Amino acid sequence: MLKEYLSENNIIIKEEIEDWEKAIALASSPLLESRKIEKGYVEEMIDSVKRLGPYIVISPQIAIAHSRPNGMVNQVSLSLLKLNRPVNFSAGDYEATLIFVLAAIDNEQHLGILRNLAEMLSDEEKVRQLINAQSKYEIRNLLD
Amino acid sequence: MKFLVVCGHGLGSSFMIEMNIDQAVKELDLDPGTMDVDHSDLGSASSDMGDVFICGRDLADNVSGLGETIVLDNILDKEELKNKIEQHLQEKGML
Repeated sequence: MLKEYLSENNIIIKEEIEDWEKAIALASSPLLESRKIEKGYVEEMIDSVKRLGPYIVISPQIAIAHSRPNGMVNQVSLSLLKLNRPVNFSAGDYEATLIFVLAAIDNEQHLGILRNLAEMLSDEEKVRQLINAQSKYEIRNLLD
Repeated sequence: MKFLVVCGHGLGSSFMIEMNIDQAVKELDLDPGTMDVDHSDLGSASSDMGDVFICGRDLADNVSGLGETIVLDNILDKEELKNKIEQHLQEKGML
């Protein structure tokens, strides 16, 4: 299932990035370009972190950026920015190398993606392989 | 006993924790009929919505005002969640 959503176009690999806001913006760019989300959704995701804190860093090295859809999401979708060097979301140990962007259109339809993401990301070996992956092909091979 | 999992939007991490609670309930051999789990966003959560509130450490200050709270350091860590639920139920004399 994750393989369907995370097409090669929706994966970006980058050495490093200056700050978390740019990380969210870059991670969202494939969804923006394919019109699955509107620009306002990206702004909302960034504002959410400013307002609520680095809660999107759900586990060491893993962030799942998301927000309320508020009409700015056209299609349930997922993208991934994989950095080679982590970016800090806040002081403390809130840093991430895997930055997912989840776009939900309501409270239900994205739960399948989340279920699969949670299963994959609770497997430490798999997370290690994702962090070390150097190509989109390698990343896609690790997905269900 | 009702667990209410709270996160920023009620869309993402709270659902992941809810999944893991279901699993912890099985592993601790608790009667699923007596354990109710739901998730909510921070803005809509109120004290009457659960007996125990569960959240990530970043929301701990906001959620602790609702009632008894279990705070998770790592939202995806099933062991941490299971141990903290077990400890809570032991304190309540339910285990």
